[in-house]
Amino acid sequence: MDFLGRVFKKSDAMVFRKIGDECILVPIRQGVDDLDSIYTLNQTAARIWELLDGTAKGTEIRDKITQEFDVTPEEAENDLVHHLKELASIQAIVEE
Amino acid sequence: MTLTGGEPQKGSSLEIAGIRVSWLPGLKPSGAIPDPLRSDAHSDVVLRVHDHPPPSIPKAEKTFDPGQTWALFQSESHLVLQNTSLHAKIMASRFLFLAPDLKSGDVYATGDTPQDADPLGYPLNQVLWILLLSRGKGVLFHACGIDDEGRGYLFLGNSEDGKSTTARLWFDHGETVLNDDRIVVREKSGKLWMYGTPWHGDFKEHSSRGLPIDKLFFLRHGKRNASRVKSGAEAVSMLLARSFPPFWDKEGMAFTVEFCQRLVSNIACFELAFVPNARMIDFVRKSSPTHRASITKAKKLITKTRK
Repeated sequence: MDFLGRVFKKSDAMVFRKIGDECILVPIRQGVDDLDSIYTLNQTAARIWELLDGTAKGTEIRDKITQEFDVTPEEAENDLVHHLKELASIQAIVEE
Repeated sequence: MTLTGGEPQKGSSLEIAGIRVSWLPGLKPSGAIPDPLRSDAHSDVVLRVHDHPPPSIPKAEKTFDPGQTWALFQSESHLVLQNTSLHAKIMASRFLFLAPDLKSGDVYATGDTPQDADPLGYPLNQVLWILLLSRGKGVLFHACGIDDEGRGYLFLGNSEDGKSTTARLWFDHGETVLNDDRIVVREKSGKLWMYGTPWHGDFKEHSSRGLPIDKLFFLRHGKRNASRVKSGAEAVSMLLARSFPPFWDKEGMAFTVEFCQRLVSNIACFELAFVPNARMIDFVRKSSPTHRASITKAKKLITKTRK
């Protein structure tokens, strides 16, 4: 999947809360099969989460991360794609 | 827990952590709850009890089904709790129909005898309290609570982490055990209080009393007594992993996460490795946040905490 060219938004089935620089994600579920995890996002991941507003493409988020953190564009892109894949795998984001 | 009024069918109540549920004999299925009880300032919920099955259950929409001893679903305007999974081969014998504001409802009980003295029995009574707490009142934790002569210690842990062992150690030392497995935490007068519940684990001595929490410990067995300060998102996720939150309800879940953050912000939190002997007691009493361990930042983008 081309994560950089797409627009994602936060899933309605997630509760999130910013705690310091980090963020906690908790899935809303209907059964115990998919109920066993709570996710903590570090500072970079929490910022990416904030930027997933349903309007910004992956490339725009990559550029902001490059500006705001001490990383190269390649590092930002790798981290972003990795993070978006993880978020998609736990159904925390949906494509707009 | 306080049971008053004798036989449940004659009207009685159950109070846990300052939340009181009262029940009265069944009226007509559609009958209104009498005003004097509805307006009873001492009862948070008033339930009518019927010794027959519910008349009918219109279109049910699953809300949450852990697949074992209970299930929660929406039926028209009612939230309905039953004492089997929706996929169970046996019929449920107890139902609780709750009004949307959770202030009144109907219990339909047939066939079996509730294990406890209230018409709901376990686990429906525990799920009812989880529902009520999630409306801004507090959180139920997988924890052991100790009253050390007025100092409240909350020991959180999942199965086999040492909660009942901890309860026994403090009890043998003459202190009061609120509960070794289920503790409710609520905010009262600007302080975070813990309360005993009737849902104990292996340790049978328990108390319904409440007191402010002085320190909070995430328990685990160790080769020596050692504590480490926990804070921030890590501590909040550890609390959530040892809680009984309303995973099906976004608003209730958001409150639970916020409440856990409030706990972490106001109470000294430690991870505690312990050896099961009396030295643990002195170690816990002396544990202080000034002995702060260095906090390492997570390198992973996402850290997963398992329930």
